[in-house]
Amino acid sequence: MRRRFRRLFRHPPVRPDQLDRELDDEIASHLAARAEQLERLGMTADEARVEALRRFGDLATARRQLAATATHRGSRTRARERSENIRMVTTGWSHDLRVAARTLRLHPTFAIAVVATLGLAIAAAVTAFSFVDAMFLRPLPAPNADRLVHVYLPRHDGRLTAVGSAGTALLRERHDVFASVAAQRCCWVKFVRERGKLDQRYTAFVSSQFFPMLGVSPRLGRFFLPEETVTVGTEPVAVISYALWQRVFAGDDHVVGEHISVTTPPPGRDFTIIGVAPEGFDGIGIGATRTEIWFPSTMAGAVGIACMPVIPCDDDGDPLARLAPGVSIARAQLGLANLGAELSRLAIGDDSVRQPVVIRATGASVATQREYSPLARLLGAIAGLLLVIACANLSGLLIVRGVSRAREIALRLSLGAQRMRIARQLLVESGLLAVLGGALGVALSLWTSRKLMSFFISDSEGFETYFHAGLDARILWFALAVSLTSTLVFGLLPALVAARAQPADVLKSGSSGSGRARPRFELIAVQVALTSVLLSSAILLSRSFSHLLHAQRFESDHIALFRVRPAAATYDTLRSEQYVRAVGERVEALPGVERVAFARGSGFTWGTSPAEVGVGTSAGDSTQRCDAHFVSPRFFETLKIPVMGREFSDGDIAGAPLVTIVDEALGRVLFPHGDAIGRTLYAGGKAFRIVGIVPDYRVREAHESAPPMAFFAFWQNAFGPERDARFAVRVHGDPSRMLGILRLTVHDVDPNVPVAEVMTLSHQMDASYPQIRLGQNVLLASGSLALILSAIGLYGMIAFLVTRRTRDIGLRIALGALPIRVAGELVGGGMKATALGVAAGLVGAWSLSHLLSTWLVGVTPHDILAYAGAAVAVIVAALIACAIPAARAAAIDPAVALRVD
Amino acid sequence: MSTAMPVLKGNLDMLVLKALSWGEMHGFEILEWLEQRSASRLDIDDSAVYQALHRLEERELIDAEWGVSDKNRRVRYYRLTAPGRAQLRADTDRWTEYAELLVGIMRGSRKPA
Repeated sequence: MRRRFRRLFRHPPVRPDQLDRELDDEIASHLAARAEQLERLGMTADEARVEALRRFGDLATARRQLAATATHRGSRTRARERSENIRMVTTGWSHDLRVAARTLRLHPTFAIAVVATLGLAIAAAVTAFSFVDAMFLRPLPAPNADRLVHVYLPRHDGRLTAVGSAGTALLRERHDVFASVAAQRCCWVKFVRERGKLDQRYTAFVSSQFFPMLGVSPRLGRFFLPEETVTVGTEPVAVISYALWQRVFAGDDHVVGEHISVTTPPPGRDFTIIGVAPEGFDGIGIGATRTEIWFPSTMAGAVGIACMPVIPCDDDGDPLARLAPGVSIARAQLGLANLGAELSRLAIGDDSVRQPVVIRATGASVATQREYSPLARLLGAIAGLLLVIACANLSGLLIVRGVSRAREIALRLSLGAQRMRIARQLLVESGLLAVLGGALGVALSLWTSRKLMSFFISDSEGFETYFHAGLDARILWFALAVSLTSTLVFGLLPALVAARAQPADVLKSGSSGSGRARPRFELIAVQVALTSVLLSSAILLSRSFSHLLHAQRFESDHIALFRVRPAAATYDTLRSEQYVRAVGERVEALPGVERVAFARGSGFTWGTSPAEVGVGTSAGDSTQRCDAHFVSPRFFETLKIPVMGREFSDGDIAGAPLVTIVDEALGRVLFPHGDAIGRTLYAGGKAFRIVGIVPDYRVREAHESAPPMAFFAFWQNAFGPERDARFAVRVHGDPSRMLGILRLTVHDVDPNVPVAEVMTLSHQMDASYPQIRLGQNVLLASGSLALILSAIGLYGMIAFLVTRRTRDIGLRIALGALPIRVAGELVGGGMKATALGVAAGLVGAWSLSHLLSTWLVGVTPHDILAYAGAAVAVIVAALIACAIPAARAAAIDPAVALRVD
Repeated sequence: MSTAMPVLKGNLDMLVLKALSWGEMHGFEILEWLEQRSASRLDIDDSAVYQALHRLEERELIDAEWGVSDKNRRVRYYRLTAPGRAQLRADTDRWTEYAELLVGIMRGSRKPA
């Protein structure tokens, strides 16, 4: 063992041509020594040389014999060293690992800094990846999911159009390409009465091939038969989800054969339950709502879904197909080439699309993917930036460490250690860091992914969405790959640079190091630049969101919401009105409730499709389009929206003079001279007196101009009877704590009427703008993270400088330099890099900011405040990071410093 | 008697090991040590010592390394390895016993067993 260890460091390694030379050297050295001895004893130089040769014996013979022995020995040594080399590569890893662990334990600050930097960056990367994975990459939950595809017709504008039901039928005949083709349309809210109780359900419409294709078998009963999904409107059967079966039917085995009725649209329709889907199967709409009931695709029309303005009557959603055995996606695409024109005629009405595309079915639906791809790109870009920042940081840390190790490495090299051996030790060390960082990253990402997905788990109507972001093997592999790559690239390179240095130079240079290993301030500048980009973008989005909240013009903090649908319970106008009034009275009487109001139609965030009416200033004139909202008395008071004039009161009922309230925009358009109150507005052939004006508000996207709005009194029923109502309840304290009581109270008024969308207004607003909220949160988090990383990097760099120059600094202070000046110079160095980085970063952010414009509301992409804010934050953080080690430098005691090294 | 006495090959190896048991030496130092200890009465070609050194090195009883002598000359230093030390112990015991036996017989002070 000792021998092997020594052999390891022997220098130089033995080569055959060297042996002869070494032998000659040794003999010559001996002869010289002997001659010298003889001279000391009184011989002349010549006599001594001759005598030395004589005493050596027959030089030629002796040399030959010695050479033979040496060659023999040399070849044996070489063979041994060869096998040792091989052993060295294949064995001793555990030894290296122990050494690495010990090295890291001896330098805990370094180890912690590297692992934390790596861990944070990897957590960001893994989180972004798990989002991309869930949204785009995850295979459908089915056996051989890689054989499942969608077929689309690509339009000129890049959109993908579904092939429709006739197209689906056409595809189904292509047995050479597809083993099976299923129609599937997902995610419609229907009101369904089960066992006498009415509630809203998420439903999907599928053909008989759907379940078998996904390889699921029924928990109970059966799935659809082929003949049940052929003729339109004749097979009222349904399959319910396991969750629904458990929740509503208490897992009753006799559920098969029971009837449920879909109540919307009137008069409704009865269906027979034929089966229960297996546990955990909630449909394939990743990123969409969990399906609770499946109906045959041919029954969509019977429950009022087939024809809607944006959906062609023959739409079959995105048909899902399983490729025939042995057919690749490319071959399927080729095989469908001659069908293109016909599919195009059937689905679009012309043959503008020649070549259908076949896409592997992964992740969410194509529409969802399209909606979220900007966000995914943003997340990816942020994760990439953070990774670069972290790598720059790592590089800095490792260069610093490389410098202090250069001596160690040079020493080992000069002792004959092989570069390969040293490289391996460094590799093992980096690998250990990578694995530790990766583990930390994955652990952190468990939390961050959950946080990220929490923006999606419920939509603005309170439905839970089906969105997994769990860990799986792919995510772990991804984390490991990122971690290893970044450590390898940014860990091994600086170490090798250090190792390549000539040992002699390094050893001679002492601890002040050689000139080439100066601190890399350019790395700091890069970090600072990227940090400035992230921070300024984060501030832009934050300002955008706060503008959005502000622009809603109402105070959302103490508002609880719920929605009642007496129409779904098939109540008539009178009964509906009585019901809505009763609910209002009961809720208002609850302790803790301050004020109750309600409105028809879209959500209180006013984000989704409000009713649109034409209005004008004279009878018969309806040229001005505006959004119409139907609101109860004290609506504006409840939401704390200021009204100029008066708002609706209990007196504004059917039969009383018709009144309206307009927003400033509509007032301006109709009555440019600013005297709208008291004037008359015509709408739907009726005359309304304008009694009040409310402020404008902006809607979700900046480039959408604010549509003008008109408000009408709920109970005047001016455009037909009002029945369904969305309630807003202003409460004392936390509205989320009132939700349970509200649900019970409303249910108690009439158990037959479904209560839905029970949530807080803040929640609804968050859910209405998930992308902006998410972007803002992610950017703020990553911006702060980047700020911390950059500060750590800068701190490390200055601290390193201080350590390196302890002697210099001590000397200067001893010679009379002012400590404050020394510190100032150090801070100046760091701040120069920071200033450069901030400048570059802000220029970059400025020129890239248009990429964020989709999410910017009420803020221009060139908002000075955002950039100034980011610059100030970065500069302050950098100052602090520089000041701490600089202060330490100023406090150096010259007497101590001069004794260092 | 002051005539030079030849040394057998195997015995020379043992003597070299003995020399090295005093510490690291180069070839000429070993020769000096032998000359000093034997009052120059052993008849050894200088080359024989080197052959012995190389033989021992091949048997891994000693280890060699280039270094610089106190005369600032580049020399090859030899030192004992663990097996070399063991070998020296065994040789010493065997030779002492052998020599005592022969001396006893020749002086007649010891009866045959």
